[in-house]
Amino acid sequence: MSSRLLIGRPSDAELGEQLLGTTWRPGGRGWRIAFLITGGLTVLLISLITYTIGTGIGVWGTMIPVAWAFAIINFVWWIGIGHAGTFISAILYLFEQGWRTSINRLAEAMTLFAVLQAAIFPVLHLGRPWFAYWLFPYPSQMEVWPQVKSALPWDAAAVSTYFTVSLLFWYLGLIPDLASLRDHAPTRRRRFIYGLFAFGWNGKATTWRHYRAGYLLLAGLATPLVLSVHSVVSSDFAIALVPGWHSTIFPPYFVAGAIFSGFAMVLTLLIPVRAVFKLHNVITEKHLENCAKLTLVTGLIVAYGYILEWFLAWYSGETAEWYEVWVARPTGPGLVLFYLAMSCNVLVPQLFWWKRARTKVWLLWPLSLLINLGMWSERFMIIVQSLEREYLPSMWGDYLPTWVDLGILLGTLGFFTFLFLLFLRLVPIISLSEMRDMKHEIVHRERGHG
Amino acid sequence: MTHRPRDLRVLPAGDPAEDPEFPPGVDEPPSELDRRAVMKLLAAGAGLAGLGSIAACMEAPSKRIMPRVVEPPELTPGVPLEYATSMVLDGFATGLVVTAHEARPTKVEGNPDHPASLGATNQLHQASILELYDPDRPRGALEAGVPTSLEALLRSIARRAPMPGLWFLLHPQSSPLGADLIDRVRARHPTARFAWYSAVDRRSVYQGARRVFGRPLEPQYRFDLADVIVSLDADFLAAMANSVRWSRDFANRRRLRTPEDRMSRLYVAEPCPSPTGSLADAALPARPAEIRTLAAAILARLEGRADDHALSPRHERWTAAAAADLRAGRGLVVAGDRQPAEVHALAHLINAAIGANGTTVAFTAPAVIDPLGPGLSELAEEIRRGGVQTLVIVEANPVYSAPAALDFAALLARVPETICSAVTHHETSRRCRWFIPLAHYLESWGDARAYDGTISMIQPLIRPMYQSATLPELLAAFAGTEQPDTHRMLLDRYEHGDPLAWQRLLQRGVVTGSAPRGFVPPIQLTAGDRQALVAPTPAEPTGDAAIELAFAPSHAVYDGRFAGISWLQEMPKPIDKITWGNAALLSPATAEALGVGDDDVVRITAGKAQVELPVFVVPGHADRCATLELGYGRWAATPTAEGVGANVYPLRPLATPAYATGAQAGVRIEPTGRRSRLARTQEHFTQYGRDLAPTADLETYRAQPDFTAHLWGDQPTWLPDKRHGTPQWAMTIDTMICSGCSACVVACQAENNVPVVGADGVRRNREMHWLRIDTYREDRGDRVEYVHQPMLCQHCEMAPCEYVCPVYATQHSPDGLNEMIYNRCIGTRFCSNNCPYKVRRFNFFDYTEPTPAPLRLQYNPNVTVRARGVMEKCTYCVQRIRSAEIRARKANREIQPGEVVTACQQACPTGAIQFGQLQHEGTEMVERRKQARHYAVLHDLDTRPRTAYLAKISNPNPRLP
Repeated sequence: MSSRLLIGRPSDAELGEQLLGTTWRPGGRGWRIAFLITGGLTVLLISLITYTIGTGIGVWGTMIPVAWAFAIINFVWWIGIGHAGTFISAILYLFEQGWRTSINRLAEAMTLFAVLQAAIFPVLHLGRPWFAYWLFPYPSQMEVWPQVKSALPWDAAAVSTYFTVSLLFWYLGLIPDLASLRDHAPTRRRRFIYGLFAFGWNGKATTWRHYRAGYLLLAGLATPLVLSVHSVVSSDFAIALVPGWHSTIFPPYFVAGAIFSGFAMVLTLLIPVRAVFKLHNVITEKHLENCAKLTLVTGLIVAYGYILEWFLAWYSGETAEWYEVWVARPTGPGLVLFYLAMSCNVLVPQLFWWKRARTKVWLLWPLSLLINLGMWSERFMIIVQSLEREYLPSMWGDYLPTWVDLGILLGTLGFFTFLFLLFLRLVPIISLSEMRDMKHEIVHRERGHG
Repeated sequence: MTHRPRDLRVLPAGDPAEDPEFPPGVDEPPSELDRRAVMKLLAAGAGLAGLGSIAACMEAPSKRIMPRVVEPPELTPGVPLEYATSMVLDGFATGLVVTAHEARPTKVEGNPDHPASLGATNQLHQASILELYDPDRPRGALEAGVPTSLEALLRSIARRAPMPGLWFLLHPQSSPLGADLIDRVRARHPTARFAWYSAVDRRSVYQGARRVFGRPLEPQYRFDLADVIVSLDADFLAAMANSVRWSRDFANRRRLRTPEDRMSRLYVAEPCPSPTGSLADAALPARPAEIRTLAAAILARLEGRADDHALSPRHERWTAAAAADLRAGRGLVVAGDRQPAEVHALAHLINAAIGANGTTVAFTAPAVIDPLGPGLSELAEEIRRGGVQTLVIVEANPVYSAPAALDFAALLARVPETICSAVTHHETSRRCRWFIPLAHYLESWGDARAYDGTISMIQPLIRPMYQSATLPELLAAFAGTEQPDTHRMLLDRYEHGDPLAWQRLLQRGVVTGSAPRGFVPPIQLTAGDRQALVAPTPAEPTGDAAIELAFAPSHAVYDGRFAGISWLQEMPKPIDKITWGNAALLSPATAEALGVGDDDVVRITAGKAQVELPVFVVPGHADRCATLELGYGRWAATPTAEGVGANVYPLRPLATPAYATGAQAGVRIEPTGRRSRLARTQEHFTQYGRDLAPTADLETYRAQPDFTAHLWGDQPTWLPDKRHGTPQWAMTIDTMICSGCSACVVACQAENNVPVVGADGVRRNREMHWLRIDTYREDRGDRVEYVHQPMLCQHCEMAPCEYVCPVYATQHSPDGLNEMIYNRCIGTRFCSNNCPYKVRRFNFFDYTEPTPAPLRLQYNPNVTVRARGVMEKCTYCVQRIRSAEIRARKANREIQPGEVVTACQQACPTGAIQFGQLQHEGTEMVERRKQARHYAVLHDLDTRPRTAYLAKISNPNPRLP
């Protein structure tokens, strides 16, 4: 375990003061403005959802042939972002990667809130959203079950499982810290509330033992989900015969893309949080660098996916698919987004071969934003551009979003940030208990006992 | 005029016992008035009130009309009845059979017994039913915009002393009853004059015949007998008076069963590809003014004269080939209605020269009354002289459609008394003092002649929805009848004391054998006249500025009179797929020369008139020429019609209303720099090399009959075969005889309660048509080849839509239908994404809810009206299949071949669409699937569509490149 993961060797009390203090240090004017803006965008989101459900999804730009557009793009994008959190907290935990410790809570919170945004869309995009529950195998008196040949009931199952497990995992990790908050809370009211959520945590060795076992089990449970959720999401496209969708490369290609965008989003959030809360000692350049490295790796897999798409389109000999990939995407109506996807997802990560780009925040942060943009564009490319140019040229159609489409995307960004700001203010951003563990281990090893 | 309220006291005192309104005991108090009795009385009262209102709505017609089918003489709820009637367009009747559900007409079909229909219809017939239910129809007569009594108005007209300066302006008429009534009007008002006006003028047809034969005659063509057809700007398959019948005749000569079959060869010279031109074997883009030279050149070649016409090499080759073919085979030359009399005369001379007269062409007296009688210009002249005191305009709308030079609105203002009658208000009716609502044909009695002269009956399907009069009633009022009654007049004329014969006449809809026999009149042409005809036309002005305008009635809204019908407005037009508006159609070269492209707005100037229109580039269009569709830009009509497209009528010169040459009228076209997006349903017209709608010429086909072999047949699969059990429904579509006329599109809309989405909806690609016609064109150097491919749900055996639906809302039925369960659909639209044919339509909004109440009366009660948020698509008219099943089950028999006819098949004038069971060997549908040239669209996806297509085979002249 590298000592570069913790700068300085603070005492437990100092660490507690630093990490718990974020919850009760009063927020300034900046916080209020941030909450006002993101709260306003949340209200916008709710209004536009109401408008859409009240009027019909005709208020969007969807049409025939592009029957899926912004809603599904946003869904895939948000759920992809969610992947990094579980990857960090579960897979890196199983692989005993110490650098996950100071960022896993933040990443998991990001996952939860991203999945929440994502979950809006499969329901909202329906023609009759009030019947969304038909996607679940509930005991209907008509004895009609969802059709398992379609990917959509699997989608519903995968996303809801993923959300549930992520929530449990995140909350379980939070319990010791909630207890610490309870024990250190400056007011009675807070002590009561935190105590309520701490589920009577007592910090005994047996409690810790059960806790560790449970955490490990949940980590094991969450790990396959990282791979399964986006595989299922990708089959929404891969099982169809739409040129540009009908491809067996989709599951790994989507999972890699998800983790790729997830790490980009982690960096996007981590860098300002680190600056605002002055967490440079616990979130070090090493953390940022590791995230950037993973972004590079997954970015290379995504690039490989692109190359395969181009190759298979040529190799399959299917005219429509060849046209889709080789002509429609680079020269069709949405070509701007195609080039955005290619440059942001293939070219931008190549900068991470240089250490400076991996460690200097003034470079890393804008690059992470570009990758987020690139991944949204990639989903646009896959979903919209494929549908725009299908088999019969007579039914080719060019897609244009409406203001409602843009407003809802903006609204989810606002709602996501709103939830994230709440998270920053209400619970420790960094797992105090795990940080203390790690500090002791580092100190232990440094004293020559390792 | 005083309007006396009905005096109640003078009503006859009837016996209360006989009056059903007061059954015995109703005015006595009940003997025991307890709570139950009060409730009973209340319920009875409510029931009576309901009955009373129903009785008021459903009051039995006072005149007996006859259902076409005699089976149940009474109306059985749930069992639709069919009645024969006729729709008249500019004097020509087409026999129809109209379906009525519970006494409300819902669907128009063709009358198989009628010579102008043979069971088929065109898009206008199909859509005409919507006009009946137009919510903006006037409810009663008006005097200067104020409601007045129609009865009193007619009475006062009948009582008027002979009126000096009485003029009528009517659409061309062919009604025998109308002819009598006109005589009666003239008897009462000796100076009365009748002028005939339709914006789509056919006078040149009669003038041409008069020039050659000495009197106006109607040519009767036999397209089924012709080996070679030369069309001189004649869209005889879609835009002429007898097009429905001619389409069938033409198709009968093009229906290849084996590669060895013979088919006719079609030469078409026209400015803009028309449905006819899209089926041409040798299409020649030619400006309207060039047509005369082409005709004269053909005649010169046939007569072996030296050809002194200055023709371009391409035109030269075309005329040489056409003349050679005409001489060799049984030929037929047909000239378009908009061409001047000289072209018609030349066509008659060519037909005479090749011996077509008597074989493929015969002549009859025109069905229309007074075919060369006074027209709008005579009326205008008379108004200018102050000779018109009273002007009665029925239907005609000259304020909208007259050339700008006439300034008819100003002329109308100079007439002291103006009376207008129309089904819906229009620009002219709003400028007349009196307005009389005209009954829709579906609520009228009447008679008319078909193109061949057959007398056709018009019987009402419904009591007039609102106060209205028919044209015969109006004329009868002028003839002095105070309470005119068309039904009475028809009985007097046709019953002959034989009520049974009258019944049979109404059931059949036509007076059998009433068509005059065709004959071949001798040519009466002086040598000088002949010389003038065949002489070369003066050299036309050249230069870049010389541009010609060709005006054509809209395929959708005709001359504008159907602009209020939303189905027609939203019908994609056959060649350009434009809905809700018109465009300036230009050839690629002309557009390039002007520096404009699709959707660029140009300003078109002719004389003093200026119109701005977006451009649409049509390959195959003649250069230095623009085609402009009439009928748009209505400004004082119904809300549906107003403001759609631009009105190009003002651009028409007085002398040649169908076209304007640069030299005559100072025609200019200049770009404005603005853009206006046309609402098109198809943007890409090429197949991008994808072999979606294969075509071949006859020689290739004969050499290799199975040239579509790679596009049909089973592919290896592990999935089970779904073609077991009976019956198995299927469809075959012959693209060879599809002209793209779109009657099927509107028929499907009418049958299946398909909503319209408006121009913005179309621009957003949200049109709801279950059946569309994909039109592909391939540029083959010198010519552009069109192929129309009606595209509807293919009812794939391995349907890609079915397995992606998460809730089983689209499923396969045991009889081979791909079914939509609307109630189960949650609207994921995955099925639409996965449909390679893109035939699924989605209710993005609630399209039904805003439908005004009267329009809902048109709904087919056997088809679910879809809610917001559900997917819908072609069902192969499952309601018709299920009705046939019920009929067959009740009679304990199998469904017979030909018993189930889909709406598109029934409407199709050429019979391109055939439907039936795969088990019914020997039917046209099954026979076609065995032909070598059949194919499945996107066969390699192995969706196994139930809809099979037949490849288009053309018959080009090998000597023409």
